[in-house]
Amino acid sequence: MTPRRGAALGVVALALAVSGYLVVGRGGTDGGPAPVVVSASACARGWSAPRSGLTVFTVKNTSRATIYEVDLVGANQALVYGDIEMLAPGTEDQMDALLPPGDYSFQCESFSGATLTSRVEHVSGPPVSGAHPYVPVTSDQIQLATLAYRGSLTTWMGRLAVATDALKAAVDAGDLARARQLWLPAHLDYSRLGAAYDTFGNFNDEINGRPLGLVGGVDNPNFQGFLRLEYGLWHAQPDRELVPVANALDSAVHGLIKQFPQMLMPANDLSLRTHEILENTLQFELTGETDEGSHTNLATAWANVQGTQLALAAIAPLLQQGEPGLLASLRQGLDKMAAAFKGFQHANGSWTPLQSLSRSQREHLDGELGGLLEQLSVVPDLLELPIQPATADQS
Amino acid sequence: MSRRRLLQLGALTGTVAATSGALGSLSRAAAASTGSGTDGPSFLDGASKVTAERAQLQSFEGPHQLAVLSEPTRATTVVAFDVIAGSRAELRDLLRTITSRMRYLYAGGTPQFDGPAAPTDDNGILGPVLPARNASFILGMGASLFDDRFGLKPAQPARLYTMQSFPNDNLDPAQTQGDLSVQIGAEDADTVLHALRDITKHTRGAMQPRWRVDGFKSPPRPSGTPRNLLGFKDGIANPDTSDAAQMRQLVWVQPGSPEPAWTTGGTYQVVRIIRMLVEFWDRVSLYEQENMIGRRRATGAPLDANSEFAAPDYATDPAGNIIPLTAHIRLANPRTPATADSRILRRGYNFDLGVDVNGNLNQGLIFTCYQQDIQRQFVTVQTRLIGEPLVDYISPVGGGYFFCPPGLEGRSDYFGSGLV
Repeated sequence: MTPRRGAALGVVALALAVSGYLVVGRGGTDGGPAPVVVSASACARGWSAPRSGLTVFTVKNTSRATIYEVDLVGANQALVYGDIEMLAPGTEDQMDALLPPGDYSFQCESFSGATLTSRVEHVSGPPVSGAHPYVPVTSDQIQLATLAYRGSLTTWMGRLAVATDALKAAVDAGDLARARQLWLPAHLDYSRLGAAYDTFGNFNDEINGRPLGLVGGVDNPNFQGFLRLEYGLWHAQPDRELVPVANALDSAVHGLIKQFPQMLMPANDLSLRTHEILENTLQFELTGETDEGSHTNLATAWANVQGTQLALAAIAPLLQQGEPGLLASLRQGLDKMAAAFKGFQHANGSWTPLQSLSRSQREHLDGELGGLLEQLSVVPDLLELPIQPATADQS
Repeated sequence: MSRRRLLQLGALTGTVAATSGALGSLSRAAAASTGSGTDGPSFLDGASKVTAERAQLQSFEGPHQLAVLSEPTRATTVVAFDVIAGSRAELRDLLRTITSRMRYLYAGGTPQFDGPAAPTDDNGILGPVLPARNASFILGMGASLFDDRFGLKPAQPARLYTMQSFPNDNLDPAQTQGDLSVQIGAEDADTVLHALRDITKHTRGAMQPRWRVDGFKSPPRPSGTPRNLLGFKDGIANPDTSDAAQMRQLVWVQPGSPEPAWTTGGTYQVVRIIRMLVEFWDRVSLYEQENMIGRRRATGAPLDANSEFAAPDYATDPAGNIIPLTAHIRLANPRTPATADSRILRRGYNFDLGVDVNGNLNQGLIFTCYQQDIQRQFVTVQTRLIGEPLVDYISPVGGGYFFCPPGLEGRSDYFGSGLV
């Protein structure tokens, strides 16, 4: 239950610095081109260029310091053709690189963030198709995107507060029929926030926790929040039992909203969320695992797609710069997915239960979502900032 | 129907042990394994060829169930049973039958002939003659066996209890616990199934399968420790099973309080059926995967070294700059003097069980481990792992805690003889 990826050290510097690490390269194994040798005084000193095509460099850190990033960059020093993240002292790793003819150099980033650059070497040989270099993003770009995302979340949180207040009021009043109507809109507002994989820490357990892993399951007092309330509302539990549940939920929602401005969002979180919200959906909603009685998994899935669209909108400028095709494809895929889920809402606002779908309907939803996830999974790698392990996973 | 029932009862009552089905085949199998059986020569020729490659399969004659220490076999099944026998005497008969079937299946030989008017005793999967030492067995007893049904409460192993849910577990009662556990290992899946069917056939009416999961061990890819279905080498660091002192310290129950005397030489078995969310995992960057595990995927080397068998040096990396503090290998085994006695003997097998309701592949790990004290060892390790980043990619769905009784002392001994 910790964040999957740690905080990033927000620099992908293109500057050339001069201090101590190196990678030396002579790469190559199994018939690859020249091996890359490593020493402690320069970045890839003396590396020799392979022929064009696929090369596996062996990159070896012979220094006593960890190198956090080794990139093989193209002539403009902006496009990255191969990378290794985190190379411990005295260790080696392999770097795959598909290189068209052209000029290349290595860049090595040290613990302090200083970047060294190797000599430029020329790769010659026949043209190569299929090379897919990427443009690294900068920490400033990520920060801007994160600010935009947080702004959009704040707007949705306002809606969530109103919806949860209304739900609590209905439970307080003993009007459980009304509470059953108000539960879904509030839950969907929360589901749009994209709280996948513990984004909101303990608040998520309080707001949307599952009985999973709790001794006694749904009867465990630590089972609380929307799903606990759902269980009670759809299992004929009396209002006296549900009043404290609804009140605790409402307090947790307001607690989150109050705390949110102070909650740090690690730099890589936004791109991770763009991918992971829907991993959650496939695992927990499209299996029906989280259904505590309302049979609204398809509605939640729809809201999760919207949450992903929020995240994608924030990083769209970054993708637009290097991967406009991917961005267009993701937008289209998410629109289609949202429409597919929304298609299971009836005119009166109610939703078709997941359990009533035909095999074919489920196969389409599962398969299309899986296909979309394969595309989305590229995003975190593409937008990843080098991680400084010392600050990773503070929990 | 009635005839089959009769044969079973004959095997189970054991009152005419020498001539009843189970023990009859046992004695014949024993004869075959010593070379004095009627089909001895040709059978042994065949057996000697396989013995070299299957030499790791160990028996349970002696103070311990030695299969616990064996390297994992290529194929396995782990089955939990609930005992439906109605009395302590019937439970004793059941344990005798299980023991005799395991002895027969381990020893190999010619199946028992029950006459022309009965279905054959053997299922025939392995052909007319069973190879020797082809299958290994580990028997365990769950805490539920020690409830009031058989009056065994006073004899319950001191450190045996029902597995509780850990945070992030998703335990399905239908795949959890059981009165008995039977693990069968062999190099080939047909050998495992042959043995499983033999055991269930001869114990119908006395115990009933509760859950079962089949597993396999991958071959080295390309060398060294086999890989799990996350693509990582799994089980690189384990206590040295050839170090008897270490086994006494970590695996085998030692004499003395609080353990009842009959448990000496036994061990505790933990089984966890751990679903791996392989689709999600395969959509995560290699770098991130390696940081979650703490090893390179290609080589199995810890992130601070180049060889799979190199020991990670946590002392020089206290902040987790190289191997994150939350990496699986670092939490599971911090390699400090203080954590030395929480080490476990782990045995993992891959499983592949079809598809989930959402079309994802149902794959994972049958995690088994052996220890002297579940609380001191497995639970301590598992508690350290609570919240590790890897939890988002795995989902423990079943398993249980079992006590593996000591091995067999002499030809007439049976598992649990010190108990019932």
